[in-house]
Amino acid sequence: MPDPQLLSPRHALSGSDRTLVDLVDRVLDRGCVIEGELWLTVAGIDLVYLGLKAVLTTPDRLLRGEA
Amino acid sequence: MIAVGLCRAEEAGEFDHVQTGPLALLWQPDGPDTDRLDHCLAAQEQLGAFLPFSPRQAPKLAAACDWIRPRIAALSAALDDLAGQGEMLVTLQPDTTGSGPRSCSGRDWLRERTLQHARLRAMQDCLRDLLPGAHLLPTTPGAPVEATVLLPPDLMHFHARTLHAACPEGVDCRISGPWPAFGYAAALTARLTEPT
Repeated sequence: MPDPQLLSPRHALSGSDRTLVDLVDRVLDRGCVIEGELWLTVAGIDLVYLGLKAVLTTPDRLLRGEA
Repeated sequence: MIAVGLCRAEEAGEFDHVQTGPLALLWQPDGPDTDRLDHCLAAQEQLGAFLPFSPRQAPKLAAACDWIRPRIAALSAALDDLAGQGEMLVTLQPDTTGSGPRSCSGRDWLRERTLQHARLRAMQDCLRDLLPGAHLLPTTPGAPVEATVLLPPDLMHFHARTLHAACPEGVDCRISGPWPAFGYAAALTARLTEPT
């Protein structure tokens, strides 16, 4: 039987609790920085691809007030 | 192919993976980040230890393999830390239901702002007392206080009940878990990745 005081991740993601979904969003948004390192260190096609992705991502974060 | 996360090679079983030393790198075909999140949840439920990549910023498989190879020892140690644990997310925020109209004079506004700062500090202290290992996410006065903490899933029910019981009057408490260790993984990868 589900514990009413501890929501399961799948229930939290079902969207019934806006605050919780927002928190999960923020935790997921923190992400990892593997691509950041590749952008800085790997030459060739990866550099172009990951650099382009960074350019696309940054304005989105700026628009969300995270910069 | 997109990397989803890491587990011990002997536990990878039916998950699509490539082996790198003692580690297995789980992957799935390119697709929406919600698919990767589902994959992470399944891995968290089925594996003894799972280190997730962020579903929104997961690297391609080849790039992830290149990143992992020089860090196998540190990542293996991280999987040892994560064995039998998941992440619990906690949100504390003032319960605003039934509150009166917002003040409009400058003095009242400042008084309200001071109260918000005091409430924020009180909620942060409350969370630190109740969950000493919790990692508090950055916040601002008036916004919810949010934290992540690594715990064995069985203990989460106990801590959820304790937190709800100890939550100050007028503060709304929301708790969920066990999640894959997204917060832990973000901190770890930031620590292991040094710009060159």
